[in-house]
Amino acid sequence: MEWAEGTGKTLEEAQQDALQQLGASADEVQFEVLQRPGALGSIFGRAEFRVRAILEDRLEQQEEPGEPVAIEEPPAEAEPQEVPHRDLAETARELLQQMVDLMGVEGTVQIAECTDEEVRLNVEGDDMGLLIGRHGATLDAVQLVIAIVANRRVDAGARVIVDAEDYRARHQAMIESRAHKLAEEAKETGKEVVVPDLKAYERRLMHMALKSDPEVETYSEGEGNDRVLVISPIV
Amino acid sequence: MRDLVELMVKSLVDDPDQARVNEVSGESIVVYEVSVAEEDLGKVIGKGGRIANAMRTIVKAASTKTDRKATVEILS
Repeated sequence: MEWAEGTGKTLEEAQQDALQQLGASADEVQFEVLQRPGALGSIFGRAEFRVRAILEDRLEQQEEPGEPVAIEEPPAEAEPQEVPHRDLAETARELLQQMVDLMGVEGTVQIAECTDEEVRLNVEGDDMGLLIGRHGATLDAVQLVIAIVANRRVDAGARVIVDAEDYRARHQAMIESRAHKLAEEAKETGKEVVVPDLKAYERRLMHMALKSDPEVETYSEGEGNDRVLVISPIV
Repeated sequence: MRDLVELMVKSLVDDPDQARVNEVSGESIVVYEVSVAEEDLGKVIGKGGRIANAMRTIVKAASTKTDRKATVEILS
């Protein structure tokens, strides 16, 4: 039988690809969807449709009893679209607003920033303490869920940041000033300062903050929850 | 609260029609039991339970507004 397999980011692209290889038009063939992008595929940007286009007349000839060709009509909602991050941002914003409402939090979600790599949402309102949680734990949890779902619905592969009352921005400034304070301590005492209980990105912030300080060096050691950042004075 | 769990679960899975959230009420705690299609289990649990833990954190935070604590359990 005469057929060709096509791939593409959208179902249409995959079908076009297959048609080109066959040199046929869409009404001459039957499409069979071989593969849809799964959720993981979308997250890691390997989302791809794979379809098989089978020429119609051949299809009839090979119609044997007991061997039906599985022709699957694709459900429309499963199609990822090629869209700019504004759609990702809007999808994430809507979802976050729904979640905030259902959490019983009075808050309005706004798209604070929308760049090539990053979509940043900010929630403003009362009760932000509830949404932020201890050390930002609730905010991190909300961000994880929003990022996964939004990137799945809109295959954009951008980072999604969820903030509330600019907590993350303020927290970053706090981590940086703490880094400088501890660096001074290391210089004054001439001893290493060990900083435990930091999240990975907090360690990164401290490393970056002290990179330009010629009098100290920083490194991390230990594994998992025991991993610590060390600020070491250069003598 | 059940709506919140349902929104998250149904958004995370490939097969939302097979996703169920069952509310089990205790005296001081409400447990939301989540069951999904077998292929979707990984999507609601996540690597090392990251996603399930995130849902627990969110539900726990939201439950401070109610009279009982709430948590999420994934049934498999």
